[in-house]
Amino acid sequence: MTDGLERGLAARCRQGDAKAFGELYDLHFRKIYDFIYYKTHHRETAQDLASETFFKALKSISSFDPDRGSFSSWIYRIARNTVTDHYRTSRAHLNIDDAWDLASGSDTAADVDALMKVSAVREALQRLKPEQRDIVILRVWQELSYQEIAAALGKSEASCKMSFSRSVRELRASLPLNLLIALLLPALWNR
Amino acid sequence: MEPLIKEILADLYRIDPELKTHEAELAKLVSRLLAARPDADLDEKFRQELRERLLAEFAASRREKRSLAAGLARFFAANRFGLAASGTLAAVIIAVALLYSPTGAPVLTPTTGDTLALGPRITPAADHAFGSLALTTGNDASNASIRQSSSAPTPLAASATSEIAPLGLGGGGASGVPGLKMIAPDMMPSYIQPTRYRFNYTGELAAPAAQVEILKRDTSLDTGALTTIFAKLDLGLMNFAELRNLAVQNINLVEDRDFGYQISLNFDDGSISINQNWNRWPQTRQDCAAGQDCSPPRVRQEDIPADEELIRIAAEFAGRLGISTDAYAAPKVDSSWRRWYAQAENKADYWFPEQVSVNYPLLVNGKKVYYNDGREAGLSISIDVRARRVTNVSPIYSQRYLSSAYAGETDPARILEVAAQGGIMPYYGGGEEAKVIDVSLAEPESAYYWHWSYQNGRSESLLVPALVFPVPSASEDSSLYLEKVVVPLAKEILDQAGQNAGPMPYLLKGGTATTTAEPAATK
Repeated sequence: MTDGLERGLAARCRQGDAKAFGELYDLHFRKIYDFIYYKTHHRETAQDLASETFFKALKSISSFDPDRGSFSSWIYRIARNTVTDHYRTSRAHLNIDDAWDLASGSDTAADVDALMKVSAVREALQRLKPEQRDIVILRVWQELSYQEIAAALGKSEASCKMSFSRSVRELRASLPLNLLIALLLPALWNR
Repeated sequence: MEPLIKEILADLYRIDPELKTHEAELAKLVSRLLAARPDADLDEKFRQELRERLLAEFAASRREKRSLAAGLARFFAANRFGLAASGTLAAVIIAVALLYSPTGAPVLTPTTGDTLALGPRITPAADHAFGSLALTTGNDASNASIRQSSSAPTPLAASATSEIAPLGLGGGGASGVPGLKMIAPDMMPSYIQPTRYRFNYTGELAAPAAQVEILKRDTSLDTGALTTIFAKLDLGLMNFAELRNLAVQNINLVEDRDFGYQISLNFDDGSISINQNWNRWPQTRQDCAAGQDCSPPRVRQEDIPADEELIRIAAEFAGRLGISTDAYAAPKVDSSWRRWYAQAENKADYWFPEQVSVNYPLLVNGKKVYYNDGREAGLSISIDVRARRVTNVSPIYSQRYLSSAYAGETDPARILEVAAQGGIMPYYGGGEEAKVIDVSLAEPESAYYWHWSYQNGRSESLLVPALVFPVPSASEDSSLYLEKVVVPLAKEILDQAGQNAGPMPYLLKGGTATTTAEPAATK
């Protein structure tokens, strides 16, 4: 999506054009919903938080300044904060950012399918810091560029790259031995 | 290898080349991460429903904003805020509405119905409805001190016939105690013979009316509708609903653009003023380095546009902002700088003004309005002669008045007596030592005198019928700058005329001063 198109749609929104907001929604909903789902592992929670994210965006669209970043990075920030707020307020006694921070088995709301799918790498991802995890999610699962990730997280592009590199090293070091063997064997066979 | 994996790895190698030695392992790792991507099952029905809810909310917020704008419009209409500048008012309403628009969208189509009066509106009130016409009355603490000081014996409350001659218009010079000599006489300037003007009118005055209709600007505005809007605002900072008896006094708006303006809406006196938004006007000194001569280049005489051009700039600005000049007489350029320039001894070092004003004299009932010093009241539009742009417009007053009958001065001799001393605030005294200059007054015009009155802690302005005598420009004394002698025709005001303390006394010949003035009478 071009920056110019986003700017135009956002400007039309501020002028009261509902159709423009609808177009922004269509362009960004899926990515935002997925991002929230990756952080919650639970469909209904993801739906609730996606709704909250877009209503927040609607309410504060007049404060969106296209000169300070893209609409995409702006709404990613809203989504990320919404998820963090959700977990911190619902589990006030725990300093957690998302479902990844919950101890294994303690997240009774998580979708079984999602847990099954991430179980192989969960332990490794869980050891990452929340921001490192977000960078991995945004880069690998959401396929965002470092520039987009930096804008969404309010960090520099260089620090996002460094953080991702560090995460890969940590993942490599912390992956369960059986997974590592499973990963390495095919490579050996291909020699 | 998938393109995404290749891309991710290539990025990693650029950051950390050592990782390339583990390429196979890393490729598997990233591949595994990708494979672990959860399938975020999206319910299309939910997506569509959320979209509809959002758009419905969007529409509802627009309706709410329209309601807000309508509330503002009703507020102004209900108050019959008869601004001379309906266009500016509309702009202000739009701007105010924008302030509270969640999406920042313009929400009001300005309308100028009958309720937004353009010109003066005069509503009759009971006789003597405005109370005393004294300069200061009231019963609050601040007035008490004023009342006390004005009613106490005041030896320096010299009348025009006092033998005290004014020292000047500045402070200092005489003791306030009767009989005391001047303080530190050797510090005083050398003797200056005082000048006293005697304004003579030799024509016939028409028989004055026994009653005069005094107008009072009605600035009472019910800001309830506006404060209701504020009370409902949720700024996330405080709860406005807890506040009681809220009233809106001022609203300031700025145009955030180059050469933008600041608009001040004053609900207390029902006025709007427009000033430069200094932050967005070029400042000639802002890039000045320390130690450099940072003086902006002087304005040259040829930089000042011709009067016709200044009037054109002012009229174009007023027209663009919809500021009606219907309630004003033909504009005039304030060319007082020309007089100063003509009198300047060193013309090469004369500082020409950066701004020149175009004045639109106010007309009420077809008559001009004058201040005590003979200046015309009205709308002033100032123009920066360098930028050739309007810098200030003020005051854009509401033209809504109440009218009340008061006793008029029926004695023509008393009117001429007040005129002879230059109005109710004597122009100069001077005593017997003074050099008296006779000035002939031209035939008076029927006009209004702008009378300021401080009543119960509030400053109020009244328009009092008056005779205004032009002072011929060819005066014997070039230091006489009075252009009009204003004599209000309300008896109560004329009765106060002799009670005003004049300027500080002149130093009498011989270096001492005595006061012989009688204490000011107190009513």
